Amino acid sequence: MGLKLHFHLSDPLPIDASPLLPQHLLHLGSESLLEVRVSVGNQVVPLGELCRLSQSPESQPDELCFSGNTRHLHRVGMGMQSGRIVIEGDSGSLAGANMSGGELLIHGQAGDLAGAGMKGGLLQVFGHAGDEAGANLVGNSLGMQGGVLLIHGDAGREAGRRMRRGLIFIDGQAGPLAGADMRAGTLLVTGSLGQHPGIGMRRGSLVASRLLEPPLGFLPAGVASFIWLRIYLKWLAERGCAVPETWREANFHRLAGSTAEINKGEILIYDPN
Amino acid sequence: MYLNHVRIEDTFAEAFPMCAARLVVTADCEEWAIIAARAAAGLAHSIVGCNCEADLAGSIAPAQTPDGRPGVAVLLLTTSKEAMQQELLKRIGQGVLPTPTSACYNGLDFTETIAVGGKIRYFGDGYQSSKFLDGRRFWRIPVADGEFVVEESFGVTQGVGGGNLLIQAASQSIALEAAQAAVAAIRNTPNAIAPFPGGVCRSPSKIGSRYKTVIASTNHPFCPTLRAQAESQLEPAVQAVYEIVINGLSESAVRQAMKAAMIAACLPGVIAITAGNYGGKLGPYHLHLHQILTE
Repeated sequence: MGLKLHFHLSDPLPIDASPLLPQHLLHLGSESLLEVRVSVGNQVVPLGELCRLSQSPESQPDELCFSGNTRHLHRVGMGMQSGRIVIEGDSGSLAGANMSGGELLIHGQAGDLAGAGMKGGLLQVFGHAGDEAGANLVGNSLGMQGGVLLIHGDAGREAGRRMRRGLIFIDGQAGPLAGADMRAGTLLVTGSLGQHPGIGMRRGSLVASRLLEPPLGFLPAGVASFIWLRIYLKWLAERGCAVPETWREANFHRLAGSTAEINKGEILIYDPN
Repeated sequence: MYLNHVRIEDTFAEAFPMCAARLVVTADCEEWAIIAARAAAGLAHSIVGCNCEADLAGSIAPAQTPDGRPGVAVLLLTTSKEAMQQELLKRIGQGVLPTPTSACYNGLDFTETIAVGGKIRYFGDGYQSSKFLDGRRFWRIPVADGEFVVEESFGVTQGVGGGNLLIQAASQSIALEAAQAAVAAIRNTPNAIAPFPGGVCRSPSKIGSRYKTVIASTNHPFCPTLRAQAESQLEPAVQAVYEIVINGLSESAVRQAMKAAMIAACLPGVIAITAGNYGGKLGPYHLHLHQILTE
């Protein structure tokens, strides 16, 4: 049996939810749990002042569920190593940032920097995500370094910036500069890529249905059916992702780049013919 | 013991542990997947001369393969992990890789692994790249029809080799018909193979020879045409003998395949079914025919 935290504050002050991890909370008794200190704006308050606690019989034993006014919860699951967090609503920024294991599910919109610097685990957003999903955090040279980020909606600008490993799946449109400075890894976008995708890319794969404009620093490199992509699409479909049916046996135009870098990256664009 | 008027000798096949691997070979259509799988399993009939025993181990539906394309399983057995690595590098690198549209994946989920794609990747001459998904690394090697994808590591486990049956019949055609029926039954058994051409061996061998350089030679007591010249283990009515060698991923898989093969081979005109052994001195698995039939 997991725990459910119902946040009742209507105050728009940001709440730093990073201490609220399954690995820290689930072994605590309910009294100690309500005493956990949490930053709200420039104050530090006991968790009990922010939310109501209840047992969640339907959830898994290592699960934390956040409900109510969750939009102001920032850094949810940041640094998470194990267990499962479910947010029944929107989340603020930095959800799942630097997480290295476990599962974070957001049944709403995610703010900026979702999954930034992520190293492992699974982050699913059942809505749109803000800017810089899976990107690097300020001061860090690498973005996502492992794990899986599934966005069942659109993503803002600079998704996967400087990512090194892992998989980002965006079932929608990606904003400008998707995969900018990408080191490696895979970014799949069922819709279109915004301006300047993959700019400064070294290695890795950007896959999409359409380009809004020709990408800078990429050269045409044939049309082919990519078996590795079929592996990814099958894997995603088995996990409930809305993979385009037309992609499964399709050919893709390959653009190799970035010529401004070591030219070992690729952008694959669906060929409807 | 008699089964459908065929005498089943009260003896045993002597089997021994071997290093086993299982490949999943896929392609754009089943025809090309079979061609690639056959190339990987080529000339792998007897450990004595081939260093490897292998055969196709059934079709795999697209839903069950990593890339969603038609697939074929290949089971391989060797004497050691090192030998397996050499065989896989050779067979995947020279057999599967050149075959149009093919890809090759590990088909065993075991903790002990050997690097295969991780070495074959050098064929890419620096243009290779990899994808890492869910704990598995796949190498992409550029080839002239696109890319060859091969998994980095392949699992190995202890398999069982040396299960065998000797089908004795009143004529060569009856013996072959019975042997083919036995092989068809083995191929319907999971995790077991009959590695000889068509699954049938007409040259059962004994250890050693009168020639010092020959480590195995024809098993003359089972050659019908030598009855006048050498000791024979055949009764007068027997005119032909075919051997079926059976390997598998486990002892139970071999036993199950032997049982299916014996039942299928008991056709009219078949006189006896026996098995080869070395007096129990070679292998730890003694597969008693009577016991297997009562399981």
